[in-house]
Amino acid sequence: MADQPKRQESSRLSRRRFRKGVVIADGAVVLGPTLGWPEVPDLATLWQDDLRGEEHNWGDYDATKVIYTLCEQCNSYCSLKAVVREKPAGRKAPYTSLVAKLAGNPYSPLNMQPFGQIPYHTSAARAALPSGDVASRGRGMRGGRTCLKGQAGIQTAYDAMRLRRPLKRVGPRGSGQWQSISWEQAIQEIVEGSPDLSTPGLKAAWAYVEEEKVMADWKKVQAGEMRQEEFDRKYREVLIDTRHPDLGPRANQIVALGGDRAGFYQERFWPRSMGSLNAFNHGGICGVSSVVGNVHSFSAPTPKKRMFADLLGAEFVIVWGTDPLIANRGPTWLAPMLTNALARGMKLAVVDPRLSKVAEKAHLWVPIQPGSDAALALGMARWIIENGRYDERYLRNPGQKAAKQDGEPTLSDATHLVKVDDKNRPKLKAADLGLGSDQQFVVLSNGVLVPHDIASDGQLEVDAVVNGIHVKSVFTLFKERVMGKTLQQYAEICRIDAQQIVDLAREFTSHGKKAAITSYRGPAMHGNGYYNVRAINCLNHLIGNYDWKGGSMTGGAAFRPTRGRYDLEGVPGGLKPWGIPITREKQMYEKTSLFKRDGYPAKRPWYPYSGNLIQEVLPSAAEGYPYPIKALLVHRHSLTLSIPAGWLQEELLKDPKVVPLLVVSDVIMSETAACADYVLPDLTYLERWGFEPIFPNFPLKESHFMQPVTRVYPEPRAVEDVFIELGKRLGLPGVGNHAFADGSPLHRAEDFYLKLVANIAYDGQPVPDAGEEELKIFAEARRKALGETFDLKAWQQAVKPEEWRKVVYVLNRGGRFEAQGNEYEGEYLKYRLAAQVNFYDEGVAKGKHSFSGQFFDGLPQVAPAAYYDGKTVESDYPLALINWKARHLGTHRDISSAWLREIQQENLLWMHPDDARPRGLKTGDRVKIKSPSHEVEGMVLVTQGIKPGVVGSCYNYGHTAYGSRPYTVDGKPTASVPAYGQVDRVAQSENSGYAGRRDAGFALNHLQLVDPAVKKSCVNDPIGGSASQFDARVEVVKA
Amino acid sequence: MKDASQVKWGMVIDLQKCVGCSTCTVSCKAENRTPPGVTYNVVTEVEVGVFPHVTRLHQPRPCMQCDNPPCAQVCPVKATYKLDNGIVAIDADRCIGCRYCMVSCPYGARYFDFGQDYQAEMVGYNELTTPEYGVNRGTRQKDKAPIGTVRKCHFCFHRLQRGEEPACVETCPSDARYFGNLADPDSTVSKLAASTRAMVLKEELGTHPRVIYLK
Repeated sequence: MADQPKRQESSRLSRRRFRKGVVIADGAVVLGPTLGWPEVPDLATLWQDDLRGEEHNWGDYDATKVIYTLCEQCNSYCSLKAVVREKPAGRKAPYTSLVAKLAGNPYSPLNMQPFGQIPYHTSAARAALPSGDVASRGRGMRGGRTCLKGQAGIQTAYDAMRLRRPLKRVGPRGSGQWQSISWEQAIQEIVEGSPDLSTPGLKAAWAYVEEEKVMADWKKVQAGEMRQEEFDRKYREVLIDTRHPDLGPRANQIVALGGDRAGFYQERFWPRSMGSLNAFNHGGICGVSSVVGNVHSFSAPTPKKRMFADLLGAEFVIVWGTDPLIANRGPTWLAPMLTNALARGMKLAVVDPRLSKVAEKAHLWVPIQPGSDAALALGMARWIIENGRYDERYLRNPGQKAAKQDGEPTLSDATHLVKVDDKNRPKLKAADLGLGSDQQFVVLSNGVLVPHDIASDGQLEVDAVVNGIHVKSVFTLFKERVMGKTLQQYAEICRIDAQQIVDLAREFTSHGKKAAITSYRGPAMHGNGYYNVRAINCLNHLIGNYDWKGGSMTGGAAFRPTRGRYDLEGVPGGLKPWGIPITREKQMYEKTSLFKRDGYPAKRPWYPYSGNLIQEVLPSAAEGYPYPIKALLVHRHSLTLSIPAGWLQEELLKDPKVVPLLVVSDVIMSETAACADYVLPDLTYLERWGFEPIFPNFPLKESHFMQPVTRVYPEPRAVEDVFIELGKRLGLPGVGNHAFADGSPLHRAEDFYLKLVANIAYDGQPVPDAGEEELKIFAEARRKALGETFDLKAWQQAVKPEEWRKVVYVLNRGGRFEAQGNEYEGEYLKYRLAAQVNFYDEGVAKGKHSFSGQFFDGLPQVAPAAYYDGKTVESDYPLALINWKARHLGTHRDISSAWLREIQQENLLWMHPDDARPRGLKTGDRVKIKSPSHEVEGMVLVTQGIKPGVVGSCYNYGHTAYGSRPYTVDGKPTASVPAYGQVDRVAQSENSGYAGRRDAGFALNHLQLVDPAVKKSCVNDPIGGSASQFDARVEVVKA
Repeated sequence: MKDASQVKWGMVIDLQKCVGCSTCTVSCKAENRTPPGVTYNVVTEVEVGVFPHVTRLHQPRPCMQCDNPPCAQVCPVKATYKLDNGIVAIDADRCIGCRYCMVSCPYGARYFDFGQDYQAEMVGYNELTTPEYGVNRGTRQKDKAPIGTVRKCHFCFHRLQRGEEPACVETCPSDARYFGNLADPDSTVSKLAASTRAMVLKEELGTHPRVIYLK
């Protein structure tokens, strides 16, 4: 087909034009001479024609229609290129421009795997044009990869169901009756209170006092030098509780829960302006036990929060309870890295109870029982140790010095000695023996006790009494632990064949340093999540793969966004938040006045090691433990759908006694907004500023940010602008004039974010200045895209005049990106952990459970998920329930994209045929899914792709609001999403064609465990703090 | 760029790399702003095997841009025709909406535009249309082409003219799609198409697809 004869252009009328004339004249093909057989027509050209039409338009564009930003369709935050079409003059429409198309940012290496990004110095004008060669190389280099969620982002911004005006509820919470009010009225009533709603104002609720002052007086009270009554009088109006001053100032009773823009509200406004400890992000329901388990497996100057593998260099990777093809920040770079790694011969194993996308590609799929991850990891560790497959040379390095001699960027604590008879089970310190400081661990080296950083070699297995102290080496303790069960016992807990443990362990230890594990939520979001994650980390420890090409990656290198030219977290005269967070996180219960009062068990759990426990905010407020709250401000987060047993959260949100003032900022009437007193319309990610760092799973340095690309409706305001306004009305520091250390003001979000861009521009060797052409392109692009909402002067004033050109240079590229080719230095990754890795967690070993007062374990262990009172989670319901992120819906918010709802109309409950048969179920059957505390209805998919005894679904469906159903504003019902087409849905068919309803499917999180030992709570990991999301059990019956 | 008349566009899809994420499907919807019910690029999925020895096979399916296109042969008004560059084009101004071509296409790659839209849910949907086959049709309106005509994947002809690969190729997160000039033996697609893994769908029908799959 490739070598057709070149067409002849000998006559003025081409052959094809002539033929076309014949065809049209006759209405049929003329086949040729009438004598004998007809001439066989040349099929290759018979249907050919030149492109019809006179003037051809290809919809081309130049740099003045391009703005680079960040995607927020899920939490991966991929870099993005937006092409805009300006609004035609005179067109009556609410928007300033239309986003014609989204693609990956070609400047960003995140979007351009594997061929690499265009050079950073490419001019803005040139970058907007193709620079590749589609014909020969297949790439125009004009845009990069995104995923399907990213592609549908246009529908988030231009959603006709969006909130346009501030709303105030009419009637009780959740009644769906609203009145539209002005911004002025909304701000006024949030600050001053509303007599008609009986909601308190922030002004009356807020009070702050310095910790030092209070505690100095409190000491006097304790010492009998000040009377309690006097203390009460002095602090009654500012402290939450004068009997328990350690709870902190009343400012703590004003709580923020946010889904993004943490740099603004969580690092700056809430602590420094509001003086409140209580600002949370979604960590507790995201993957916090993974973060805690990881952080506690290393002694690193910058906490190592994530477990990633160098996919570019690895020979063998275990993907453990996550799916880099779908999630884990983000598929845009991880998916092409992974498919190309497989193409070059990398081996892949996947641990997951269901056949995830990545499991489909695996050489070895290990479908374990949910929550048995520690058993699998310790089983592997047992086989590795028994067979001497660990890297002994690596593990015998007790300190940096020894490691360096071996060319190892990291070292382990395997040889360090632990005082096993001490109740706190700490590591033996050189100071204990008079050998050195209390910062030095001690190892046995050639029979002599030596501080770890001096020793060049350590003995791995030690069980001895030294100076009257019984010590064991960490390795010995770990070995004893893993030998505590046989391979067969481990396999039974995992419900897999023991041979699979051996296969996995053998493969993992057959590639030197070029094997690694990447893991995230799967093992972590259990009642025993911390121990699971610690156990998995120890496998990487055993082969010492950190910082090696193809090994464990600790990337995350960034151009510093919050420091440099401007200290964005610094507030002149800023407040210092103090006290006890409502969630009792990062607090030792035993050190509080509440412990003195109550002892064990504490009324509700305390979390000394964890943070962002968003799931505990409302239940704690409801119980008033440690204190009640006065106001809750939520933005871009929906507790009712995201938090396990979200129906409980909804109950609490609707109760004014629990939340006296509830303000929700969102782009749409979410399920949580539906419960609010005031709903404030936010801007979508394509209309505003924002910053998010990437996950440390990329080997190059990069920083990117969100900037406005269009404005769809004029009235909504970014939540930052709302906070700034509230701060001004309350007279708080850090907003308005003199908000930053250099005296510059903070009036609008861009005052903050343009300084952030300046920081990025100037980090290290500053970027070049934007030339005249780039300045022109910058301004023209924004005038076209943002219309009157773009105020060039205001933007310029946010930074210093000499910074402006560099800021524009970075804005014109959507960030700052290191060039390809800098991933490695020899056999090592360029960006490194270069720290100590820990089998033994001294910090956790000395911590106690706040119910029993019993010590936690410094070693990973196989422990079942438990309720707060320590009773094992057990259920009469037979089927383990798991959940996952749908490939087409990154969060429940993506339901507003019709293009994504077309991919799958509703979520399906996956079930193995062995479980379906006895229940009489087949694919497409409507079923009731029952947990002990809740019941939902859904549709079943019978599949071989899930472990028998386990059922599950994606969690992204089951809305009751979000544009799916009308509510009433000013007495009139709002629009809701229409039905599409003649829907003919086929379960799991990729081709169902039409989008389903926004409220289709079921909300899986409602089925999650409720803890009978704590009021109104889901089950939480006592160490890692994560909400249990994979421990529930259900029964499924035909509906 | 080479002389346009010498370019024969072709696509190669590596099924081992494809992860079945459907990004191509949505990228196409977004690029061509096709209405509800019109999806130029679907991905089919089949589960193969028995637990735990099971996997899924995904097959993205754009228009095959056949060199011997059955759709063109049955069109009573010659609305469907073949371009020199290999793309099977539709002249929406000539199409009478009889849909014979939809029946004749062995790949189910053609869709009828019934005139539905996303406007009620998506502000500005109708105002922005993509210039298919070089024709800027402005605002999407009732009784105006392409409504009432048959539509299909055109290898993002407009993007090719601008020097860009088709949208599905640009965005494919699994790096499974390749595009280029099959008339140039040194092009990336030609080399991949020469692989022993190469195959076309329903080869026995003699349609000569310009979309080649790698098994």
